[in-house]
Amino acid sequence: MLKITDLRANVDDKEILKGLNLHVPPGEVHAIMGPNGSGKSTLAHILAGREGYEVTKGEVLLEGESLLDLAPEERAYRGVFLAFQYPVEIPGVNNTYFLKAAVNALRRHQGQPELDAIDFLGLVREKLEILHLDESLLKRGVNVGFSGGEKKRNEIFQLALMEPKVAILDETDSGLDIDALKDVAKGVNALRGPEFSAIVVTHYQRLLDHIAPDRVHILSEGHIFRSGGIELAHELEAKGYEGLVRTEAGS
Amino acid sequence: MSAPTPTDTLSAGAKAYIEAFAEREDELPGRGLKWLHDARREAIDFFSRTGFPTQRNERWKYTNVAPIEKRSFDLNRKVPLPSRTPLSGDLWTEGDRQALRLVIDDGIVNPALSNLDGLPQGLFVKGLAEAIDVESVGLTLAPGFALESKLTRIAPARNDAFCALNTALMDSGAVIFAPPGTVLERPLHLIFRVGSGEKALFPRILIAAGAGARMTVIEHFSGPADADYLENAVTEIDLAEDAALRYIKMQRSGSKSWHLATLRARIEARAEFRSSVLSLGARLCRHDIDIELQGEEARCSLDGLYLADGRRHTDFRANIEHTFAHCKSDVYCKGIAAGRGRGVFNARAHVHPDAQKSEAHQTNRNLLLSRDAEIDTKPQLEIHADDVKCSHGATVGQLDDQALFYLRSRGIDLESARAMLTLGFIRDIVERIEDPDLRRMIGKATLAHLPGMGLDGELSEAFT
Repeated sequence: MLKITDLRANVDDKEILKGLNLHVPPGEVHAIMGPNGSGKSTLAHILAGREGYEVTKGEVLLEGESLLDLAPEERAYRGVFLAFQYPVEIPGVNNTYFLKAAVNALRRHQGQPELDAIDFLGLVREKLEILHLDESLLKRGVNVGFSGGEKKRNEIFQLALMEPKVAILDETDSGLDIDALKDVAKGVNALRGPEFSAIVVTHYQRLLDHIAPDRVHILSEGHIFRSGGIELAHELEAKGYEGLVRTEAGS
Repeated sequence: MSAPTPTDTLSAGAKAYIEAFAEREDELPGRGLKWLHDARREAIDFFSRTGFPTQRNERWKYTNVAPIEKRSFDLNRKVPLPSRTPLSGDLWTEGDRQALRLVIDDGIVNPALSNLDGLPQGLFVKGLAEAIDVESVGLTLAPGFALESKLTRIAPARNDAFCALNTALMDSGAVIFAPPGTVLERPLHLIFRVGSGEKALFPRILIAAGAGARMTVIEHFSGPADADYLENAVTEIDLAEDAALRYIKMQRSGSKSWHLATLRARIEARAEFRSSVLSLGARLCRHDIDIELQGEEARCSLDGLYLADGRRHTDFRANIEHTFAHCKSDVYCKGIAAGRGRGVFNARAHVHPDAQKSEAHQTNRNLLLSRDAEIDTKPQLEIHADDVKCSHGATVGQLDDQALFYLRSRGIDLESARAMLTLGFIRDIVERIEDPDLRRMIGKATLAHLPGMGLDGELSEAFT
């Protein structure tokens, strides 16, 4: 589904990604763990098409087609979704209005008829229930005055509405209590299937107890330093990054 | 009395106005009313001494009116009524046939399109010329209402050159009086429309509310996109104790026109003036607002929105005099400058020594959408009392890159994302309009003027 080959990227002339390789087959969920500054968020942003990153080498293919030259909205049309680590507050833009515009933009580009207000409301209510989100959030500005937990639930709510092919969850678990964490996991798990892949960027094993990954990768200094199954996350939890690096060096 | 002699230092452009006054003096409304005729003469004398303001004048520092001075507008309009072709301009209240409205086409009341049925007992709405005419023959418009104590008194000609020109040449507009205790439940629309031609118009509006009276008045200005015309309007507002006026100004004048508006209000004890001034059209627009809080607990709020796209220039100037204790003023303006447009905000609250417990706030937020656009902002507080709550702040920013990326990552294309954020920026100005029907009308109209906004179906739902 998603294939990243030898990806190198700079931010302000400093190389952050240094030859990153990652292959996420259809239907799989891969976790990316790594210390602060290892390039996790950079990778997430580059995949979604954020400006300010200079890709100097390598390629990113989604179903065999290159993503790197596409605008963020074009990536969304092809099925890329980024759940933000820090969802942006947009005062004055009503959440419902924004969600409807987003869903219908996707539908337009995917050749589906747009949803009218009634169909949209039906869809929204169904997804709100999964995320335990209050309907009153719909009337507010996008993320305005939302608690940390509400913001993250709102990200997964959008994920559920947009049903992408590849979701990138950028530290969605940070700052969540256990109930919110379970709701987030439930939202993601509901989408799992042969047509859905995800990259879950996280610091902690905690989220992975609820979203079982098919693979776990450790990102360090701009490249994948180790890959394995869930046991790698457990090892990391036990030893920490330092310990893991030492083990690697000693072996 | 002989006509005043224009000073030699005046430009030919300025002299044209003085000559027009000399020619029209005897036919302007109120020739038979000495007080009014005197006021007109004093006004033209004042203008003869000052001419048009230059940017050396601190009040006009950011706005150059020389292009107006250089133009030769038709100042001596003598169009006989029957020959006039009906205007096809924006009737504004079209969606509501029952709306209360006074339609003024090219400076002349259009009775066929106006609707003043069902006004409360005693409340009157008259065309300016008609109101002056009634007084001219010795009748009074209403018990307890003296035109002489208000018209040209609230906004004296020495206020400013444009106010002086309007005073000298005013021949159209409206006089509205709500007797004490009267409540006008439905909004009253004053609809000013302009036909073709390079004319100068001098509308004068007087709104007077007796003690405890309440009403909502909307002034709506529109005109053809290709006509190069001048609107020099003056609005005088007089609110007696406990009166309340909700005032909305929609400036949607033709994009080649020049719109200069003076607004002066006297607000007595416990009276409230709530105003929203939306400046959406015209190539050059200036709102010149002076508020006098003349009794304890008098309140005013001045909301503003100005759009300066293309080569448009828009200037919002306000001054509020806090003379008594326990008064409150709040200025809340937002501006958008795009293309090579320029927006100016200049507001001052002046708190006098006896005006203890005053509250004065000024907020001005601006959005710059292009490299060549310009914003000048100057909120000011001048405080001579020690027990006051005052604040002021100004910001100039661009569309938030993070927000743009967020929207685009959800499939909203760049243009729509920009439109959405721009709309988000101005939204609260529209939402502060309490009446839901008015809010919808104004929201829709405003969207149509936003720079670079493809007004699609989705967006037009934004204010429902």
